[in-house]
Amino acid sequence: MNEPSFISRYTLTSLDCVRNFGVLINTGIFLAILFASNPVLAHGFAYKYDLPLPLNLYVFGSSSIVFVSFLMLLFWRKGTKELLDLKLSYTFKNPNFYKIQRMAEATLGTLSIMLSTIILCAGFFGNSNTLSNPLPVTIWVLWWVGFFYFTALCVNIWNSINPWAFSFQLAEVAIGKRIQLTSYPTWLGYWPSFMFFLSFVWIELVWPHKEVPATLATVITLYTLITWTGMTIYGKQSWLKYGECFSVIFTLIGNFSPIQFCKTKKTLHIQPPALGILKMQEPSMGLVFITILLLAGLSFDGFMATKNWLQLKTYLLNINTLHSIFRELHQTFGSLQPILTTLGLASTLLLFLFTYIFISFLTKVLINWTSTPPKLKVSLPKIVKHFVMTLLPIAIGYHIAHYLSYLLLAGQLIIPLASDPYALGWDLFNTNDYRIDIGIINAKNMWGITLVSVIIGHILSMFLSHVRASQLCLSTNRILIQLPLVTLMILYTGVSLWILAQPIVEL
Amino acid sequence: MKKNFLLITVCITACLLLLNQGFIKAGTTPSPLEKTINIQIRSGEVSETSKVIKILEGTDLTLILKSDQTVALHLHGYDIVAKVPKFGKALMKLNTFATGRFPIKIHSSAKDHQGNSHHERTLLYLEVHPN
Repeated sequence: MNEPSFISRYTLTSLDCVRNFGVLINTGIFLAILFASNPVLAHGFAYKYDLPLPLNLYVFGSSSIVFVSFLMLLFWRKGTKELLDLKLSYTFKNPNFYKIQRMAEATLGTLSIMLSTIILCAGFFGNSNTLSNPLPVTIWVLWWVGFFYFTALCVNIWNSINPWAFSFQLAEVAIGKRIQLTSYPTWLGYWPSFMFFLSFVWIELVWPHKEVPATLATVITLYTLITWTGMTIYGKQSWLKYGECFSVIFTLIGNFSPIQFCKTKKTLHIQPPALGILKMQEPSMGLVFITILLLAGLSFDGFMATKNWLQLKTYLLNINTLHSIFRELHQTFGSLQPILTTLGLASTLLLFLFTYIFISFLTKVLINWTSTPPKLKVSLPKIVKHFVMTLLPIAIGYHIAHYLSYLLLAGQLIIPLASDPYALGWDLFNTNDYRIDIGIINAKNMWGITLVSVIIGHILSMFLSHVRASQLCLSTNRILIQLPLVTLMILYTGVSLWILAQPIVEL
Repeated sequence: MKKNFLLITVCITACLLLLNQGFIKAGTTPSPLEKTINIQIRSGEVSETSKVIKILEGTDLTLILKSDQTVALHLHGYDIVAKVPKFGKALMKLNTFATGRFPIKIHSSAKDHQGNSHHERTLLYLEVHPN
């Protein structure tokens, strides 16, 4: 059967689609409708023109991580106390430091509230076109990618610029007392954060309307109300620590950064990246899930732009036994794209969780097998919590490799939009005529940055896991118990490199 | 221990320097600085072999576009639009100053099953590789 022309595919009505479902699947037209229903990219600004990593670099990168892993395992025979004892951090302590910090926080907080309000209003009342409104680019590019980089590579200032927290603090100052109706239930732990972050990842990767300014502004307003309610009920500090997912995420990522503030000691530390992760307390299970979700979300976002994801979806749609289910879903939701992407995200999360728990189980078996005396035996939850943060540097390395060009290209959209955020014909900064410079970064440099960030992320993760392992067992067994986790790290880094070596295809 | 630590640091630095000193190659064959490519569009599609055009950075490229239907093509990134009349041809001229994988999308103004009146779909990719 000859396939109808492109135009005729799009002139089919929904009713036709449903009526002729079986035929559509057989002829492949259904796929066209499915994929055309929501023609959005993982990041729909579509300013992602990365060339796939060439084969020679992919092979070089993959072999490097294996080589580096074994090199590190071979040489680290002695205890790691020496590593921890190395004076790698520098501490600033100044009597005026605390005052400066308070002033900076007040200034940043005020600016943050002003900018958030301006941009949120632009979302509601500005241009309805994604590319002509500052809200989507601010949220998805500058904040979620750019601020993520800043937090990981410089310093975490989210606590100072969090507009929800600062506005709540102003309200507390205005009424002259702390607002808290009840204490935060300890059994709830980080699970509210996990649920909010899961919703955020779903919106980012699945929701077709995530870049429509007005709907995005509505979601932000809804989250603002939830956050204010949470802080009112459980108090600002508790809700920010356990319930406000972005505070949790940026605190997590901020542990990687080289600059750390210590509010209690009123000091500032400068240290090598990732060292802060070692100083973290053992996380609770909710935080473990958040970390794994962060890793899974990043990887799935990359995987969604590959041809293999397209082929997997086609394969699923061609399974005869699933036809009736897909027909029902298509009738209910009008498009299968979000359903399949949700399934993909959920499967990736479960795959990551099970893989990590399985690796932790192997580590536990090895520790308990080699431990002398037997009292050193450890439980599976202990292992799961003990090593999870060591995977963060790989995730950050991959994040940089995957999104840097996107940040540099799509981020430029804010230059003209800043001059006229409400599409009223203003030219505040004389940048209205700015055109995006697509040559801002050369592919050769991008490949270099990609490989360096992925390899350094891997090395740092190896280092952290080694130090973590030393806290659990004797030096003679350390190499052995690290093997499962090192294998996982090689696998994860390898998959990240593989994704970067795939040509980007559109959904 | 310090020796081992130093040795590992040296090895890693050597790897990174090697990477930085021209180890990176695009893996493409050299091409002249001027190039003309014919693209035949039939029923809104191109043949499998022309789905990806590979070209070197800095090339003066001319795409000669022919179609059996009236179509509008949009080269994203470079932001160039060409309208091809039915059984006619159009030219897309550019200097490939920026590297990357840029989609050339075909625009259609027909209404789809959801009632949306504007569509674009990737017809082929232009890959500009570094020299």
